[in-house]
Amino acid sequence: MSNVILKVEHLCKSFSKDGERIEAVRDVSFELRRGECVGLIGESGSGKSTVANLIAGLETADSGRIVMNGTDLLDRKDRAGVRACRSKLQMIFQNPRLSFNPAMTIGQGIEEAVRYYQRIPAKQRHGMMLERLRQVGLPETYADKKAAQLSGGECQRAAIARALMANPDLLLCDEITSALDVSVQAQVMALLMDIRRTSDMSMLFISHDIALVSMLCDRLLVMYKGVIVEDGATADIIHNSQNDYTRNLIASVFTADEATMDRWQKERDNANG
Amino acid sequence: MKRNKAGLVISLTLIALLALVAIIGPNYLPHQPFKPDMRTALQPPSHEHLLGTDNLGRCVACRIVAGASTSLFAALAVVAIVFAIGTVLGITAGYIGGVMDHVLMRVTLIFQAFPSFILAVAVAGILGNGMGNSILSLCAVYWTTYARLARSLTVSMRNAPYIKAAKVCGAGKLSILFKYVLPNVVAPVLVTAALDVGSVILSMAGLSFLGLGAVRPTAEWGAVMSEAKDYLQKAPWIIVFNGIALFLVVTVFNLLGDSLRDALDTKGEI
Repeated sequence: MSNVILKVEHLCKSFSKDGERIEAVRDVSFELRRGECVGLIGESGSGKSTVANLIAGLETADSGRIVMNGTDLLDRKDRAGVRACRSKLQMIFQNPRLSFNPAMTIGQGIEEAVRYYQRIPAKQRHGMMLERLRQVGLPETYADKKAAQLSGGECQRAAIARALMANPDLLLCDEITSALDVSVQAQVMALLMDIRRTSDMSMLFISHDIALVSMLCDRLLVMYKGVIVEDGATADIIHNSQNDYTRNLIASVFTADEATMDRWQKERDNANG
Repeated sequence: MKRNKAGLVISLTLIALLALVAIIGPNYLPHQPFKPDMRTALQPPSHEHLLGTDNLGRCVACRIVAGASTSLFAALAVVAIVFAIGTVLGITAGYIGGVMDHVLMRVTLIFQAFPSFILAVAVAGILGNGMGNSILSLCAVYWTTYARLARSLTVSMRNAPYIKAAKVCGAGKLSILFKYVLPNVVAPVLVTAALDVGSVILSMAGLSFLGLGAVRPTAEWGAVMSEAKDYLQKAPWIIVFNGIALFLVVTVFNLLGDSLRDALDTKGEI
């Protein structure tokens, strides 16, 4: 098997809203290799969250293929294969507090990640959960708290712990820092970079914040009105974009200078070994 | 947080006391609550009869205690029935959506198109009087609130990130329904139920007052007040003390509802 974790081919999805047909995702194709971190950027409404929802199975595609580890996730006949594949896929959401069931403790919420696909016994599950909490820098006592008692950043750490619990091959991050303060954003990003260094999981990092994305990702996909308009290495896209829309997007938000870019590139190279 | 818990403890204690009085009180009454004794008719409050006697010479205090169980348990029965039916229907409609949702919402709209008490009177009138029928008629009025509340709460959380997270973790429909939707719907609906007990007791008394609820000689408070209104000028204590009993019980249940809302932290949702 090749080292391609995820292969998306000709993905299409449209919604009807107020009698109008909106094509949210139009013929989107891309690949993600093992250990690679790819940023999906674009303004709100460009369809990037829909792509994540389609991959995670939260919405059904109109047409196209989503192949993960060689299994077609949209294949209705191969249920067992799809389930096995989905057990290696995790997602983190934008709103950290609402990512946890208000009726459960954080610990129970984290354990949910291995309750259904993997059916790990309760005692072992509990031990794993505490280990994950430590890994994301939260005290073990937080296991008995509710999401409402935690800060946004702490909740997002707990959500990362839940995602890590399943030992995923692929992690989808949907605007995971946009609800956080800037200082907390930096902590969460540092944690993610740390995780990248120590595991070979692939990430699809969705954001409208091009500075954050270029800090973490090797490769960028730029999405505009449901179409991927550019696909290339981060530095190439930042510096020599051929696309007007991308250039506008970069000009409007990007502030990092050349030296910083180089430093990040080096850090990524180190991380990739 | 502490104050909320204190309110909850106080109101639950008071309700436990009420229940105790309603259940074992009737066994320890100094006078017969249902046996007429014309020698003592219409006596004002005295040492012998603390709250006076009614037109048939029965002790008002004894009849209040004897009627407590009827009023309380009928109201609790109504609330329990509408809570169960409303929550189940509301969650099902909200979660499944589609045709089921449309049908249920139209049906609740039809029920809510009538002024609630008029609907209760109409249903009770058709079914005939008696406690069972007045319980049914009040259920017909109250269930819609619960169904609509449960449905709207379910719909609002159908796309919540924690439900999405559960789906990504592989949770099936039933797990999501019982572990994610139900617990988060029940808490706010429970608060509504606690707040409704008081108003159901009042509606029940209202039905009895109109002659549609309890049948004589049951000492249901509304029925007693209905009888006592003819003696309002001669013997005001009958209706006044029954009214005070009703007022106190309704207040205690409203207190429970309020403190339950604080304790469950569902402020702003209801």
